[in-house]
Amino acid sequence: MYSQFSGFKIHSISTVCPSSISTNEIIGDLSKEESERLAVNIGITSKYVSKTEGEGLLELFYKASKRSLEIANVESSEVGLVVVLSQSSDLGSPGISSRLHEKLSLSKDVLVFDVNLGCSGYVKGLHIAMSLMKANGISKGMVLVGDVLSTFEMDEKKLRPLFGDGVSSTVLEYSTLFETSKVSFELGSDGKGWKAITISKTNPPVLEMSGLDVMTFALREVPESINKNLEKSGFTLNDIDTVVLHQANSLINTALERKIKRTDLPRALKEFGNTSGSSIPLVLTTVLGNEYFSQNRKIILSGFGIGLSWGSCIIDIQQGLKTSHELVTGN
Amino acid sequence: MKPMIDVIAEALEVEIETLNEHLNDFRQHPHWDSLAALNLIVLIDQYYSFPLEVDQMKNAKSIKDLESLVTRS
Repeated sequence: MYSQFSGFKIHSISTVCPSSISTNEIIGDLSKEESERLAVNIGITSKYVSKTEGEGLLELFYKASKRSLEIANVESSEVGLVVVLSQSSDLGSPGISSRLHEKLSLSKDVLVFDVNLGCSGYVKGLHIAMSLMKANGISKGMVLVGDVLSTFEMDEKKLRPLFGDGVSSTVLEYSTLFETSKVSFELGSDGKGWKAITISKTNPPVLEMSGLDVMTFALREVPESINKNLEKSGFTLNDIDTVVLHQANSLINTALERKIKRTDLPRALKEFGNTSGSSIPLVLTTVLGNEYFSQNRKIILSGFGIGLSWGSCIIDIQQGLKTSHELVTGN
Repeated sequence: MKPMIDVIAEALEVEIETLNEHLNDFRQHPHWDSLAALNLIVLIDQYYSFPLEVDQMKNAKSIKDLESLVTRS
């Protein structure tokens, strides 16, 4: 599905991770050599994981959202929309968005809701927010994306080394002042592949993933989504400053970079691992950052994962986007 | 076109000669694991531009089976 918007400015992106580091030196019952081989192939040597109650999903989202409002110089009373995309809330219902509504003291005249999505969440979240803001004349909105997956059960050798915890909050504004700013989305879903990644509703939840199925899916859909988006928008890769892919693992990201013919792409895998929907924002805040966004940029964002679900957007980022990254310690 | 045996050796991160005993059952090579399988999908895409599906890989017993899959396309 292809759609285009104009009139949006991204004011700020804030990312937050818990402060405890989990390294991939020794994985499960693998030897040191086997662990090293795996770490090299997946490109992940460590990641941040939640260890205490104060580093739960709600607390991380609260800190990220507060910070993103501060650096954007936006009051919480101005916010008209909050969409949270995650899959690791500690409560079945209500969603994280309701509890954030209370913690952020948002107005009652606001649309808040949760969406159950993972690694494609950032791109799909921007699309949902922009669609609703435009349709309802909402001026200021927030897209919150991320997960705390480290508390889930998962295969200790194949999956545990991949996943880190992290969240992000993005503040955006819709106004005729930004009419020259364009964004185009190319989005897709394939329910036939839903079994490739699942999270059970047990306590604790169990995360299962078929790496082979995810690999073939990513190679098939991601380059096509980006190429279709470029073609329909009338751009070539030469018009694009950079491409930020979901940080899955080095094997997948290297293969995708080769297929889209850009091998210089920014990565945050080594330090953060695969942080689900917040992996794209983590690249924007920790690898690109304020200096990179001190000038206008046209970039591609591409997310893909559970669902199966994927999406790419070509987005004009106006100069002065404020980014922030913090590690937080719980109680 | 790169010979399939070279591609499999690269996926397994082993010398080609070590595959001589496993021409008909490359997945029985002692280095075959989930990482090697992932590598093989990536390398077949890279060298042959062939989107190898998981079932196709699992159904391929010999190196020849894989070769005929990608050259048929």
